[in-house]
Amino acid sequence: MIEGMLGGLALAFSWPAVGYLGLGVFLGMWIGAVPGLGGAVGLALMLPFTFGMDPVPAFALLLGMYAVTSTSDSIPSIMLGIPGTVASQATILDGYPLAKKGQAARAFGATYTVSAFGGVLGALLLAFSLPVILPVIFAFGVPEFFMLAVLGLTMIGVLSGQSVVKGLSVALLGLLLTTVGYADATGVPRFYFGVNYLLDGIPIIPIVLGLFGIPELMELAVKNTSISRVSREESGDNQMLRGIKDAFRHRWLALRSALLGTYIGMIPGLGATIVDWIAYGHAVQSARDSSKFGSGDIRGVIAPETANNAHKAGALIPTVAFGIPGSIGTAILLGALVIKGLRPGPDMLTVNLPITFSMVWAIAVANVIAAGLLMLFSRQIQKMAFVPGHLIVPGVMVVLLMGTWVATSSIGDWWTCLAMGALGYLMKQGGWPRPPLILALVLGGLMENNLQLSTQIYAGYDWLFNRPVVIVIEILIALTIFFAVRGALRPKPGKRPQGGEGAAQNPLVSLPLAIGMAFIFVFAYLVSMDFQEAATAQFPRAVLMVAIPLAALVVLKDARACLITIKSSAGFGPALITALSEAEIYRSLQFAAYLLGIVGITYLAGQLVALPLFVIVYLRTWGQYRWSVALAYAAMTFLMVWGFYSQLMNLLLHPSLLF
Amino acid sequence: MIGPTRLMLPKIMLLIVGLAGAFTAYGQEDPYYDGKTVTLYVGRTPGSGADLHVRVFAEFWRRFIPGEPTIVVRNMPGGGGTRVWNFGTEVAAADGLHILYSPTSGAAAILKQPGLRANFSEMPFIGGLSSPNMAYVRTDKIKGAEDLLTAEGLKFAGQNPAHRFDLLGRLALDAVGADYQYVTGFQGAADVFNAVRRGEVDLQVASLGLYRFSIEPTLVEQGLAIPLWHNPISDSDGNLRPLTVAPDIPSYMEFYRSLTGTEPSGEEFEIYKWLLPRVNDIVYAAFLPPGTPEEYLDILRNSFVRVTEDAAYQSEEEKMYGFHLPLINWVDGTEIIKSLYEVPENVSAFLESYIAEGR
Repeated sequence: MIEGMLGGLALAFSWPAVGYLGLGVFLGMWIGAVPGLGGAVGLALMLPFTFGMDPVPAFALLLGMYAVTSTSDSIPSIMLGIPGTVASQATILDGYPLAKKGQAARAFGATYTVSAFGGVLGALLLAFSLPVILPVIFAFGVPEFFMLAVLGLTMIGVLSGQSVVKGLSVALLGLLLTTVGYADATGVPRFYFGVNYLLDGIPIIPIVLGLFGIPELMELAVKNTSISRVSREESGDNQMLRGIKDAFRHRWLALRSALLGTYIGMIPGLGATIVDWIAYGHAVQSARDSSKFGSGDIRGVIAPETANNAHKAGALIPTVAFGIPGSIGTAILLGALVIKGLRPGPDMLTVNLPITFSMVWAIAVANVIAAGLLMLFSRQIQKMAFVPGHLIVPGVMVVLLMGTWVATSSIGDWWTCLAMGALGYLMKQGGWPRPPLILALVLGGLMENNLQLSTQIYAGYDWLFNRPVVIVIEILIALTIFFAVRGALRPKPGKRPQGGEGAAQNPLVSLPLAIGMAFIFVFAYLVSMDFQEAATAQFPRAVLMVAIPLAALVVLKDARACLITIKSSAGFGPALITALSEAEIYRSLQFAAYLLGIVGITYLAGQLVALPLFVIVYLRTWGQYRWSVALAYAAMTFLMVWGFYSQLMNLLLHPSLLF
Repeated sequence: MIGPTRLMLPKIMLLIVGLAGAFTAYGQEDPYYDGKTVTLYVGRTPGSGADLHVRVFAEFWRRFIPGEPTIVVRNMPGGGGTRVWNFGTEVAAADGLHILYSPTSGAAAILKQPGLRANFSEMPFIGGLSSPNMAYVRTDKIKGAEDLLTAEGLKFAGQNPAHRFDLLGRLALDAVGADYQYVTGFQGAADVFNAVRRGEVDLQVASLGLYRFSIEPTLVEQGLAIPLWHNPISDSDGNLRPLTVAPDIPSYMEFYRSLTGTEPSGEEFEIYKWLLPRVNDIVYAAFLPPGTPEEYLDILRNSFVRVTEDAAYQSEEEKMYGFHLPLINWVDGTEIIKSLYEVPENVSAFLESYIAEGR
């Protein structure tokens, strides 16, 4: 073992491996920071370049890139409220509010410190856990996966902010959305209404980018504000150093998060998205004072960022050592191993142990290098927080839309993104928390699939009572629910989040959303009556049987709140005007019209016309900038879309009708 | 001093050489693909197994197309795998520069998969590669293949009742009269394999590549599993013949004979035999959009074959799969594809109820 470690270290620092590692780190920093890309896409892009290379430098390049996307993805999460990758969603909840307070640098300081710590610790933990990992991995069968998904869902209480009932309702919508497309067990399509796009289910990236990204950009545009709501002078100096100190101050939270990330990461199928939310939930639940979570608590950044870096190392070992990929990214790495003529499995723990350890070292070193470099770059990046919003919005909107395009190059993804953007906007204005939707989307497929497999394999439900790991998880679930309910019924001072998701109070905006959701649930239930097979209908119907009465409850609550608001505003008309004005509905609709215009012009003339045109129109009409500024910005937009997305990434752009 | 004749001679020779060159060039056109870019569309996500295969193949294919064009791979996942085929028939230009090279299972056409508008028989077929597959079982309940008929509580796991591995596996087991529980819904072959490793299920049909790289070293060599059969390939007369790439694993016919002492027969076996070439022989298929001129077709067909014969490409295949993927030439492949749309009524009725039973 020690020989293997030292051999791996020598390989990792040999030339040209160390050079490729540096190149990989540099590329990974960019790939992680661009929303919609992420480690898996980066791996797929770079894999062909490694075909002619020896294994060690090839993996140094791939892992150098892959390991650091979980660090740089925090940049858009903190600066823009848009996740850089699916692994940095939870970071938004407190990272973006910190940026709004002018403390982006503090968030970066904390993030990079704990990311390096998490990545290195994850790599070391896994290296030393090798002898015992396999039995642990195999202790988790389909019943355990189902229970882990249920445990993950109990985080909803934590993520719902001030409105647990709405959070539950939103989570049930998320679970319902996971049933769109082919049912796993039967291969029968559900809820696809003849639209081919829906056959593979609704993809998560457009949902996340739309739900979180568009409302934030809309806010910047409508309010014409910079990201930071305070001036640079008011935000204070030495914020990055303050963030680094925060990381050390909360070192035990970071350690626990690293452990969570590492050991959850090694369980196949539990990706970085789940780890992110579980770590965040743990941070909230374990805090003495959780009142500031959701409105800029540094712990809400520390926990998920440590966990998602530790997770990368965790996911690698089962892949390499046992041929069990834990995620899309590690599945690609598995393919890369095969192309290099390496057989994942016992050989990687014996004959090729130095190569395995060279990969572990590559991840550890890459994390440290990236943290250092990003700290340097971020001094400049965080200045963006003080740039006028009208200069930020068009460029970020283009990156967001093209990030949505990356996965399948389908216009359906843009429609999904925009629809989710509209939903996210209404949810934000109406006091509905958004994170439960994403958590349910991530966990829903896991739940249904493993539940059906469990009932088939173990002939019923006895596995709920006779499997030790299942029982342990059930106890954890029960405790989590108990404390969540107790906290809701008898809130202690300092335990309820005061701001953040679900905090808005605008019943006249919330009520239509509640009614719409109830309608969707009822409609879906009626559609599900046509599903022939029990295995096709079971899960969606079970979700809807809880969702419909819950939605009715929310409608009643919101209706009562509306009546109170109308009475206090001396009439429906004044109340409505106030509500719409608070939600800034008129300007928001204008912005939404621009987004629809992008899609419309894309159909006619393609993205290379639609996106630069949007930039010009926005800057001229909203930003009131000169033609020279608008045209220069549009030219850069064109170059980015054509050069980076079309030529470098080989994305198929939408065909135009006119050209 | 050099006389005038001698001075003239080199000039005359130059003229002759120049004229000869000009006449030679006159009869010869530049290859069509010279300086062009060919786009390969694959209906899977970047980094998937199919994507890796197509990218490696593309690296070699360009060298054998006269003119050595640039080949660009574009991913077009979605629609349950139908999007790339629909694109090929409805949108892609028929100029020989757009090729659809993607995994396909004839099951999609036979079973009229929702959303599939493309008709494979209308798309010129360039060539295809097979992906051999086989069945294996854990040794908890079965020590040898002969125990299959008496084993109790055997669980055969698959992905969904319409998936070719599930269909072929169930038909093969039913044909020999094995008693088993069918467990379906796993999200991929790797998931099934993991469940077998955990001991939650016992039997799987998997690709030979997965077997060689993962199943054999981790289970078979440890004595935890044994191979049962490999699914054979059909010859041009429709007869089943064993794969040469899996000499250590009995073909299904040998397996059947060893269990029952008779030649394979029965309704399930006849359906298995009918289905096999149509869902299993062509796994990676390269098509052109309908209406592509014949001359481009010929170039691409010939170059496709030459890739598979190239030693360097074969070496890459060995690294990726441990063996060479059998080639399905365009003549045989076109016949197979045509037959996807000539499904006998009894086969159609059988498959419909068989799949419904699995749900």
